[in-house]
Amino acid sequence: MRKRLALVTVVACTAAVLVNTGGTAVAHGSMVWPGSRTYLCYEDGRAGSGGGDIQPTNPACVAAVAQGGKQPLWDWFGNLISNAGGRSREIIPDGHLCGPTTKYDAYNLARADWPVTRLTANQTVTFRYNAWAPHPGTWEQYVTKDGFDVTKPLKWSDLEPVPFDKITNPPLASGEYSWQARLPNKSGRHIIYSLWQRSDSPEAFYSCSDVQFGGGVPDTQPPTAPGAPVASAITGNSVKLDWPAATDNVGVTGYRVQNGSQVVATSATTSATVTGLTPNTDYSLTVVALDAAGNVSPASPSVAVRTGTVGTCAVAYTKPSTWNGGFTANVKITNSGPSAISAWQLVWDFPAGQTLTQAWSSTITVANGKATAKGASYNADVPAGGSVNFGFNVSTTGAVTDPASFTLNGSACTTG
Amino acid sequence: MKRAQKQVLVALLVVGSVVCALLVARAEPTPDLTKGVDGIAAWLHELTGECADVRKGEDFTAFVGPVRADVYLPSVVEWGTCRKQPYEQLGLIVLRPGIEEAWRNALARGEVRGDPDLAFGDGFALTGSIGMEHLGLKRLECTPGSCSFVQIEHH
Repeated sequence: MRKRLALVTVVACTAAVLVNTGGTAVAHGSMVWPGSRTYLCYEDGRAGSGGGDIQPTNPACVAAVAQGGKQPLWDWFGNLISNAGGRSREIIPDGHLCGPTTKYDAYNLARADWPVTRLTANQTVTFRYNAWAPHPGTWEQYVTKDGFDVTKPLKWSDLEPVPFDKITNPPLASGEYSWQARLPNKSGRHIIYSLWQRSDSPEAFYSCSDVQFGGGVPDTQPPTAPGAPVASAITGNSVKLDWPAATDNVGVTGYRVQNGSQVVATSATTSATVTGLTPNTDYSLTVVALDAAGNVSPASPSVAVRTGTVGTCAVAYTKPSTWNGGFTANVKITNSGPSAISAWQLVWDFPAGQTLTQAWSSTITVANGKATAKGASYNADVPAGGSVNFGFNVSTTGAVTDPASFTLNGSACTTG
Repeated sequence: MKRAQKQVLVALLVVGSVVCALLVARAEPTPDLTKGVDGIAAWLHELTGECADVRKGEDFTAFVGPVRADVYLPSVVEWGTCRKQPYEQLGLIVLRPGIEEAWRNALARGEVRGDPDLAFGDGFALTGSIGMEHLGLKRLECTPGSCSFVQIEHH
């Protein structure tokens, strides 16, 4: 009965909306081509995870997810202010144009390595904007001024004063709104800033599309190989690499550190720290450079690295509070070894019948009957002779046995 | 447009709007929160036919990022996600009181801007914005001094 009621509700409301808007088809979402930062990072993250999750590989997208979480990419079409009311320039401060709310703030990061769409100046193209729901409104597309530096925060004064493209209620087809526009006469790296102000509501949507204007000839020339990497700060599970820069006819946008063909780190600079390595293990690491067109350089010479031995660890697991259907657990990791344990990860059995409801001083993921805890930004390392603490709440169904063993960065710890 | 057609459209508008208003008013947010996130999911599934599979026990900070997690987590009793178009992962959150004050304090410290990005029901919230008005949910508009609930406008 309730389902039928809900269905009737949807049909009635849809009919009312269609009549109210006179059947006008308009948009809701974000720029798909040239892709906005949230859309292209979403696509990058989906590809990086192999589907089912978001694990971006583009360095800017990686940084954005570290700052703002994965939710803004799952909701890549929701970069909006509900009550903008045509006052976007008044209420959005400089530096926040690409992500005016806290949720999307990470997409304001002033970096050169966001995913880029190559465009040809003065060409007539078809802009595409995804459409989840129909609303009337007007889209304005601005481009950054000559001399714009993408590594500095985007300001309103960085935009040309007049939009190079403006359209009201564009046509809808195949779930997207699309319209033709003539690109501006620009060269090099720019941002196309799209601002959609609904006319039936104060809600407005924002997107930044990173673009490279070229002369119509696609860039197929890859960067040169980076120089030989030098390893330092080797621990049981991490190593820092530095390497001489690669060069490119347009510009190097980032680097990947590889173990064979597996990408183990990305960086926008000539330095990276590879984490998550296994103690007492040999690695042969190389670096490749990328440009904005996605061309990949030959690999650098390799550097051989053998990870160190993880210091002896001890884990104290206590339950200060237990109630019918749940408990609170505190965990203390002590490092009695001679060197710090960086980027610690503690793994223990987490059998069925338990549900993690909250964690503090760490991030905990549960998969395949195992819990994996990682430190927060302020306790990611266990200093030599020191310790870190974290805790979590669990809801339970039935009896739960305390974990008997813990593994820290691949090595077993003593318990008690 | 002919006069008769106009009259039909106006009649449709009036009837549709009234029916819509009446039915939306009945679609009150009433999940069974004694069942936690499962109660929210069941309510959403009942209303929309979606949100059948709930994922729980994942890292909330990885989902919303550390800034919002610092504000929201003290008020989170339980959370999970499910699929409800257009959201591949829509967050379902059982709340305890305190989120308004936490957001106001974070606003005052300059750690967040604007309003919380959640759609609120009584004792729970969803992380979406699109379609939330059909569920009878509300937005929270905040200044460092106060917060107030406002009905979400039609998307």
